[in-house]
Amino acid sequence: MMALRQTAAIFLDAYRELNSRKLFWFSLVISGIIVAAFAAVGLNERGITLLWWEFPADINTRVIAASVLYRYVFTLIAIPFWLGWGAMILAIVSTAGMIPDFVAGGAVELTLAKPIGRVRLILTKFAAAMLFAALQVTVFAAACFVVIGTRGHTWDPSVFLAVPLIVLVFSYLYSACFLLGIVTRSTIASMLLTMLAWFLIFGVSTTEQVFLSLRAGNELRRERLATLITGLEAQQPGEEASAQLDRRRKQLEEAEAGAAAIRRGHQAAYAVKTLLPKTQETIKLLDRVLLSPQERATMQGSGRPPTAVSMGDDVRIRPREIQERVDNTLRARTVPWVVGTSLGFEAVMVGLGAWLFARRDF
Amino acid sequence: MTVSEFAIDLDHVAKTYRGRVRALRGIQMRVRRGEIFGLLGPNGAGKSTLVKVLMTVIRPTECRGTMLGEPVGRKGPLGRVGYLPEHHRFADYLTGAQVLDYYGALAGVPRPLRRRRSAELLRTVGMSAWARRKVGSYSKGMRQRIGIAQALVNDPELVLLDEPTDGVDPVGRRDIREILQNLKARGKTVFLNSHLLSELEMVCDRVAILVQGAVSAQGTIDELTRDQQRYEVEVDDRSAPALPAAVAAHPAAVVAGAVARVATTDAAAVQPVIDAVRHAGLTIRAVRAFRPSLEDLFMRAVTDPEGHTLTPGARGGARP
Repeated sequence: MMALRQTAAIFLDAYRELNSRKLFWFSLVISGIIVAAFAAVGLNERGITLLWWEFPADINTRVIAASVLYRYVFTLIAIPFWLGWGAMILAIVSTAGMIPDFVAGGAVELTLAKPIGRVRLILTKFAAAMLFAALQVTVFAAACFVVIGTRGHTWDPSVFLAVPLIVLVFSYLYSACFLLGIVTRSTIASMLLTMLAWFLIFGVSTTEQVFLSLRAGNELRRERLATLITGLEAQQPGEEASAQLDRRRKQLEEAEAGAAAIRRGHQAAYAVKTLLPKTQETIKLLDRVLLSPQERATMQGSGRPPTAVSMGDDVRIRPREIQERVDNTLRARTVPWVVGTSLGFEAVMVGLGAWLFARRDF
Repeated sequence: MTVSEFAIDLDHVAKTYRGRVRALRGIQMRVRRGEIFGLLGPNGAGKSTLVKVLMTVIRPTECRGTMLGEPVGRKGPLGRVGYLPEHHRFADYLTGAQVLDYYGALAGVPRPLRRRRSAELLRTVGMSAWARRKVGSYSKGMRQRIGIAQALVNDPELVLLDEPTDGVDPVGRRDIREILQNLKARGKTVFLNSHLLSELEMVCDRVAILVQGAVSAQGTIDELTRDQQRYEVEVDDRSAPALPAAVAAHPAAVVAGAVARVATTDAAAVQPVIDAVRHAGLTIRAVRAFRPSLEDLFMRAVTDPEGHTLTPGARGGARP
């Protein structure tokens, strides 16, 4: 009972602290504006509407249902760009001071002198810091749920999956902020270093996806060349066919040689990424639930002619094919790998922070 | 006397910081239940370190001792202890009432009881009118008053107050003294850590003087000053030149100017000296019992035999 009372007090204190910060309300206001903009967008049989304006487009109710548009905008624009970036930055700025303020001289003694173990105390403080993200995303998801329901005529409760996912992503980043706050006891240092860590995580993730695209492109190229070679081999032998066959075989050899280098680069990037939190991929788990691959493909490619690009020669591969293969690979990554390895990183950061806090003299 | 009669019973407490800075050098100290105990010492003597060790804020290098019957370092008894640290800092976004509610909850006090006690304590420390204002708007004295209320919100058996009158005006100091006396009257133990010797002298039953991380003296003020207590017989200026000859037959009397000092606490022992002075026809201006003040006691404890004040680090190590 006492433990429950103490935990409730720490959470209430965290709420009061957030409530006192202007950024919390600023962030909520921006969320409101985004939801309003979201509600202003519509779809009719001629194209997209914005309030009373109409923009003829290939995306219209003859191609997709309005609910798909709303789910698409929510999943692939509102959540990743606003909650995944904008609100996340505001959340880090708002909460970066929680631990340094807590461990500051004169403040921490009062709390440490209470009948609550240090490890439990600091872990509860960590959990309480999740309130910012939890409150923000809950309000945002609830508002979007209403918009999708009223404007898209689909009441889809899986929209609320955004709440745990965004809180999860925030917890990955905040774990670094938590450790840095305990080590440096400085709000500015922990905030800037967390941003830097996030930038590095993003860099590693982007590098891995670039290698993945190269790998997909290379695989498609080799498949295309193998098909061409098989076709040429099936033709009547002749001088021209033989020359073409040689050229294709040489291209295939070069592609295979390139494949080895790309694979090594990708494996290295993947190994590093495995150790780090996967912020983007965790957020993208949402579209696995909210959008089917067909709906996603329709939204991304509707109306556009399938353009193909050459890779310096006459073997042409469409970017959409590469993107589809990359998307399939990313979607094939299991939830335990995406979330589990990220939580592993978080556990190391939080564990180290708690250990340092438990051993420190104040 | 059994162990349970001591609120704090320390056999050996040592703390060495990184860099071999020895803040505490084997503290032995006993605080009886129901008394007001004062801890004094110069800056860097280790007073706050000792209090922080008791409150588990600092981990001791070595520690043998109990607080409220349980080994020092355990969290359990802290629910029965109130603590006000020196230079404490409450979150500016909390009101005075919220401070009491928050720390009361952390101490495990149920909500209805917290509310009732908070209201009582806010009245006791004279902060009821400011209870709904943010701590950020408080003066230093007001923060100190809220700090004391916070230390009492769990109705503790033992209260440790580190410089409780810091920044408090004379009226506030008197109020705090009254609070301490009331606590004592209710059977609570109060452990005071203060620089203000006159304040301590007024309220403390027993004191300990900490110098360079070690207890230099411990006991009631009377016990600690007994060897310096004396009677003084003062004559007028005309009689002063004849005073040495008048008391020459009494080796216990030491003359300094117009005063003959007799090192005794026994009034009967000074009567022969008075008789001798009167017999010599000298005019006695005053006869008084002299007891050194706590400040005299403190200064003697922090001064080495050569008369130099013992500063932090003079023994190679107390933390400034």
